[in-house]
Amino acid sequence: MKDFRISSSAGVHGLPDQNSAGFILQEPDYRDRLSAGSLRRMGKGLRMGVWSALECGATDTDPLFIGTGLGGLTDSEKFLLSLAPGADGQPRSVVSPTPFILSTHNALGGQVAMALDNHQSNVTHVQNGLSFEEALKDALLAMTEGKEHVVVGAVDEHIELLDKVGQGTGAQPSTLNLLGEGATFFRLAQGEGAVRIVQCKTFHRPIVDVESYWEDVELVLFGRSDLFSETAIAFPEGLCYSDECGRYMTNSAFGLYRGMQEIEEGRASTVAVLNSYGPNCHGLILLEKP
Amino acid sequence: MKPVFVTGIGITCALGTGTSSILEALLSKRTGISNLTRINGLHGEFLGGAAELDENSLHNFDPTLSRTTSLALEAVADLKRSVAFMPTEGTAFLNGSSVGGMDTTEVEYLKVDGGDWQQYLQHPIGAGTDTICMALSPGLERTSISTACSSSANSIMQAGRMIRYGGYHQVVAGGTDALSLFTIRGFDSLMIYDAEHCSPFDEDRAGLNLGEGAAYLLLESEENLKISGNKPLAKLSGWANANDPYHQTASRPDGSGALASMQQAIQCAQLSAENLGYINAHGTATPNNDLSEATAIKRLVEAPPPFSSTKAYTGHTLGAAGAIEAVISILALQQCMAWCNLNHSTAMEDPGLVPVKEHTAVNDMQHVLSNSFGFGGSNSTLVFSKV
Repeated sequence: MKDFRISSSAGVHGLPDQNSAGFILQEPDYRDRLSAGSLRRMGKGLRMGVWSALECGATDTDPLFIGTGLGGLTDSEKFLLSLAPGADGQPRSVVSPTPFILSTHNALGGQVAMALDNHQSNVTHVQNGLSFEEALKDALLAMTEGKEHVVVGAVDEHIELLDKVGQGTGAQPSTLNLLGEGATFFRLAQGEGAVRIVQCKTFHRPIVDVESYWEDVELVLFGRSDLFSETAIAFPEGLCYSDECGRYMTNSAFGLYRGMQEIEEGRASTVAVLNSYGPNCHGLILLEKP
Repeated sequence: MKPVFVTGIGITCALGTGTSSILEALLSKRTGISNLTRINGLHGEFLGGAAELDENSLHNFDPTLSRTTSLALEAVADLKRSVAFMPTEGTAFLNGSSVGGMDTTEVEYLKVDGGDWQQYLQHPIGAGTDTICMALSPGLERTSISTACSSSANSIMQAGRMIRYGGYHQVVAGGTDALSLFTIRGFDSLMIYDAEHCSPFDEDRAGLNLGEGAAYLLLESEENLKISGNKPLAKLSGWANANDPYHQTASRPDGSGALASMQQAIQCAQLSAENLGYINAHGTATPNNDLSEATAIKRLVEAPPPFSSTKAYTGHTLGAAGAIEAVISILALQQCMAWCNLNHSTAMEDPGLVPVKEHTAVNDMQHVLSNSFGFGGSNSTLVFSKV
């Protein structure tokens, strides 16, 4: 019998800032889980991600499934910068490999595996605003194959270049203000935990309601994971989780965390987490109290 | 155990486009690696395996597209020429890539004025996957897997799992990566880019040459074969993804990471290592990979089957390598041939294993194994079998 539940979770998120109307990342003291040396090497996304994976109780026997829309932007940009010609107009002869190594999308998966001495399967999904849902679908497939425990999580970081790309492609300042970042990880267990994941689906077409997929839904948590567009999708009776954490490609992992809270704290017994990445891409995660 | 059939192949790389070009190049031991200059921002020549895109075959060839995506479109066009693909409910597209739109981003980023901002929208790997999906079937369920140099091996593995355990009926899986300044300078900064033609499993190997390309397999369930009428080319019989948590870029020298991946894939296929007729090694020609992988092959079985790396033909195509070498492995199975490892002259002192130095006919080759290893300890292995 399939009974996939969330047994623990952890994350690093932003909060809306009254003064700037943007989001400010609330970072924990990473030093309780990461050495000073690792912290110096790691970009923001890696810090958030490794800390969250360890904090959620990942072990050396858990397969790891990670979603990220844009990967290690800090390290990617750092390495790109070192490829620009030097002051003499010539390519620099010495380029540090560290940002190159950490720029790969699966650097986080590798770092978590190393921190845990984890030899299990290790996959990183990179599908824009549905990256987390694809990682979650893969994690649930692994549980269908018989894994008792899996770890699934997501991370995306915000760098200034994103604002410039947004401005350059015509996004309004009010939309750019909504950009956020964060990391959220879950350990899932067969039949163990206070919230059951009933299903995770992805759609590459418009969807207009949630009830046609699950008529028992009591609460819809909806959010936007697209960065620059303003087309709103309205679920007036629901709660908007992207207003709480900001917009980033994998913010539906935060949405799942919020859905889990609503059930754990007794405010609903069935929750749908609906993620929209533009009008034609949607993720739907259905949760219930076991 | 539900079988998973490979029924179609689309491929483009430095050896050409289409399986017949690849087979012809392999049989004539022709490398696709040559002196190149075309990478923006790179001064002087370098050795790489560049694909030649036939712009006429791409109906909507767009010079502003990321090359990673253009290569994939060429491979998808080749796939659609070779097999009937009729998407239904239970069809998915899985794309592996490591470079993604970086080849486009780096050009814009290094312009003094900040470049064309629209071009940055191609940066996400998922954006490329969406464009490729349009050429296959616009509404398809899809994901992109990015696990460095094992990306497309993992996408093919996921296709196998989805068909065997997830109720899917047909999946197009593979991957794509283009040559880019970012990766050329990256491997150069690690001091593992060979200025000469790479020589996998040679005592004097000095590193890799990069290449580019894309390959996609059409994988189908047994039930689907009855509907599609497609003829199976091979079976994807086993797979494994086993992390080697040792170092962000290096493999454990004793080969235990690579060994675990191979053993688990062989077990998944319900075979033993003695059943293998050929191993298509990852064999990047870096000192670390080849030591670790050859040691693992030695530990896998007392009398290892013929093995070789085909990286000296194609260059290391990073996220596309797993899919391109899956095709080369299926060709080995069809021809009952272990492919010659080019540029090998001196046996490695440690562990003393020598790859096949000539094309070697293998009687009754039933199963082949293909390795793909990447940064982050990402080790994956696929096993293909005769139908």
